[in-house]
This record gives sequence, structure tokens and C-alpha cells, in this order.
Amino acid sequence: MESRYVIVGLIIIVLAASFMVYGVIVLSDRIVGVALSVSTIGIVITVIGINYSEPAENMLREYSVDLEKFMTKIIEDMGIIGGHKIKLCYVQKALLYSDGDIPCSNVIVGIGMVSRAPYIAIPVEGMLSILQQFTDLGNLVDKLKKVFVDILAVCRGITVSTEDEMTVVELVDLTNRGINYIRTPINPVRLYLITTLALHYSRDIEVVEEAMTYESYKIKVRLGDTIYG
Amino acid sequence: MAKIDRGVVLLTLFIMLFSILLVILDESRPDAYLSVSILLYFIYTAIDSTIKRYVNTKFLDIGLVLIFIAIVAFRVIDILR
Repeated sequence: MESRYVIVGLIIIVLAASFMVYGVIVLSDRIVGVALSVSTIGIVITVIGINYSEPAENMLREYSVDLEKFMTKIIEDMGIIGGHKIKLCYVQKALLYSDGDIPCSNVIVGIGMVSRAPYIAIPVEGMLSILQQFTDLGNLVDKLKKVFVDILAVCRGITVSTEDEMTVVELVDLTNRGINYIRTPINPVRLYLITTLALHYSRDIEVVEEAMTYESYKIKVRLGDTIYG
Repeated sequence: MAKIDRGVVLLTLFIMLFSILLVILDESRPDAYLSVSILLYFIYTAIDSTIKRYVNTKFLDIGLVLIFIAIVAFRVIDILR
């Protein structure tokens, strides 16, 4: 969606409608006719704004849907799904799904096993670098709003708090897009959320608890002890 | 200027230009302005595919075609009467 087009289109439609009404009142068919032409432009621009998307974005979205199915199957086949732990390892630049508590120092990207506990580590180097350019300035709430409200548009508000020495982030007033993303097993919103937190705190991030309602998504994370420079 | 911006601006200019021409020609039928605008939209998007590359215009196209058909049908019935 391109909101500037939607706004411009709606303004043009309103202006055209005003002129149309004026044309009807003063009984001028030419004014009504020109207003109809202008309203056509307004409708076209509004539709462009609502349905706009980059062509590459559509193709990449389909690719990421296929990848997500593959990742979900891998995690299921490894028996990790269900009571798995999720951790973002800052130095290793990897998102770790594991059955047990595996220290980040033992993890390499890919599929592996540590002390008979299987794990899968997904690389997040690309995500870290793209989030770096969006989150260079501001406090944590500003960074989260920039990513999740302005860019991803998965929610309309964010709160950050501390509970039992853990950080709690809540995305409130979820959009339909946000709800659809959060429902998936891989959940890219969670992925981006803990990556943003890892970038902000320069620490490993472990997901402790998650809760989702129709209105909000709440995640409680534990910060790693070590701060990486 | 982004490609789609150029497409939208050109389409707007064409429609406004032809609307002004119709005013100069003393055209007093409002549906003539609307049908010319719709025709210009289809002609422009057929020649320059920039807008369609970035936007799914399927429902817009269907709606505009239906409006155009309604205008033509109304005029034909008017003439036959």
C-alpha cells in the first residue's frame, strides 16, 4: 500500500464531488462532466494507492512462504516443535530453535546436536544488517515503532516493560497482516522482534513466554548476561 | 521520479487535456466526459504498462468497463427511442 496515493486520491474525489454538486445546483453539465473526469482520476489514484506493491516484493513473498513451509517441516521432523526454546545468538548471528538449553557458543548455523539435544540454527545476518539501518537512532520503543508500526505495519502501538527482571514487549492493536504472520509456526514478527532487541541490547535474547490474543501479541524475553561491544 | 509517479502524472495530464478539449468543443453531456476518461485510462495503460506492473487493477478495470457499457447502452437506447 502507498498511503500518499490513497490520501491524494481521496482528496481529488472529494473535490470532484464538491464540483459535481455545484454543477448540479447551477445546472451546468460541463462542470458536472469535468468533475466526473476528475473523479475518475481520483478513483484510479486511490486504487493505485491501495493495491500498490513492488513486483519483486510479490515474488520474494512467495519464495519466503515456500521457505517457511520447508523450515516448519524441518523443525517438526527434528521433534523440536512444541516445547522448543527460541534464542537469538548475537555473536553467531543465528536464531536457535532447540529442545533443551544450548549455550550459544556451541551453536553453528544449520542443523546440529549438542549433548543429545537437537537444534536448528537459522542465519539472521541479513536481518541484522537491514534492521541496523532502521534502528540506529532513538530509544527501544522508537526503534520498535519504526520497524513494526511504520515499516511492517503489523500493529498500531507498542509497549515495553520489565517483569521479573525480564523485558516484556507487547504489540497492541494488531493489523490483519500482523495476525496472519504471528499465527505461522516460524512467526516472522517474533523473529524480527528478538532481532531488534538483540541489536538494541547487543546481547543474546531468549524467548521465555509468548501470548497472543486477537488484539495483541506479548513476548517476554531474558537478556543474555554478556554485552557484546 | 519513480516510474509509477510518472505514469500517474501522464495519465492525469491526458485526461485533463481531453476534458479541456471537450469543454472547448462545447460538449454538454456529462457521460461523454466520463466515457472519454475511461477510454483514455484503458488506452494509456495498454500502451504504458508501468501502472499495471505495480498495481493489481483487475477490479478497477471491471468496474470501469461496466460503467462504460452502461453509458453506451444508455445512449443507444436514447437514440433508438
